[in-house]
Amino acid sequence: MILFFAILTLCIIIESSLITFPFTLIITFLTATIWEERGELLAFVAGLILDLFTLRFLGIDSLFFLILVFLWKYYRKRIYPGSILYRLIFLILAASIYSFLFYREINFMKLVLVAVFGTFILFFVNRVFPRVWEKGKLSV
Amino acid sequence: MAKRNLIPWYFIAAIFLVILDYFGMLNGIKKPAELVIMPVQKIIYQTITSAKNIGNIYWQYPHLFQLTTEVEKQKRINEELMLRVRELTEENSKLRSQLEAPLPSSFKFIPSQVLGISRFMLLSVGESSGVKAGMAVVSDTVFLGKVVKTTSSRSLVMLPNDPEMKISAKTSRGTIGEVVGQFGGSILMTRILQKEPLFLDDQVITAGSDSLPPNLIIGKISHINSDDTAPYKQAKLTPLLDYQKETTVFIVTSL
Repeated sequence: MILFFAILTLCIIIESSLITFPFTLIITFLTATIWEERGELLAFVAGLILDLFTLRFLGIDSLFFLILVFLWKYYRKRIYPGSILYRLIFLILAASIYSFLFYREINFMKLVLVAVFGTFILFFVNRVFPRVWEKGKLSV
Repeated sequence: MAKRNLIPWYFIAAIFLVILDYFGMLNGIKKPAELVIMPVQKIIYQTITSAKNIGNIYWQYPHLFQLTTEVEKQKRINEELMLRVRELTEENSKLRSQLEAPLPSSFKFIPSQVLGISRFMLLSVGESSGVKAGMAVVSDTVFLGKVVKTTSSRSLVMLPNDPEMKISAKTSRGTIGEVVGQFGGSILMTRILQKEPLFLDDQVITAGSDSLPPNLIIGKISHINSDDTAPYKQAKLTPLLDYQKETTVFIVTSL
């Protein structure tokens, strides 16, 4: 949790001060899909902090992240949750909508970067916390 | 025991917060938070801006000896120029008092540091310094954008290349049009009548008809797109400044 908030803070500062790239969305979404029991709380808090830094209406990013977590949880039952591909597709779609709504741009290169960054984060989590995925697997 | 689904409650809380903030009822909470956020953003932005020169230093490293000699030479020239500047400043001061010259502009400015640039430019001054939405932001005579949102100590500035930006503008030859931002960050001057003169490298300035000060430079024409069958032609503009490199800007508070 401490690691999450440290990375999140760094991402928010970079996103609000330097570059129009949805770092916070990526981190929040991927973390929320891994720690599912705390997903809503993480999305809510991350959104609020991002709003404070970017001067958006307080709660607007939280709302977007919560919708994202809700949709993920809704569709998760139909797909294998350990598959990186599904998460990445979901993430790229979300990043496109987010970039259009908040940054008024849809940049193909940035979406490729979202995929690369998302894959890196997923592999990192898989290495550091290998047992996170095991919960979703069926065993006989 | 069944686990409670908290998503609806978080949704309600988020919507409630948005509504409260829309009506400005959360300013009391946001103000103390800004005291923490502002210094952090300022340090990070200034550090990154300085770090952009590191690549340049590394590139120049093989020429270090040559550069040191050059620096010594430049120092000498600098000393001579400083002396000359001192003389000219005194002369200028005398001439001004002699001619009783008025100030070059009636504009009043609020200086501000840039805290960050993402989609918008984030400034370190807000309502407490007299900044209001709609005010123009400049660097020298170059138009950098207009304030779109303020809190007590920070402001957001919409840049000319923002897709939601629209400014009445004219060229240095008097051709009237409208400057709009584009998806992807370019700037266009549109709604120019076909018969109006338009040339490459013409400067485009604010027309002063939409509550912005007149004669602020927005950019210069770098490409002209003219279709004889269309009622209007358009031109692509190149800004005179790199918005990403600005560290101090000025907000025009009165005309």
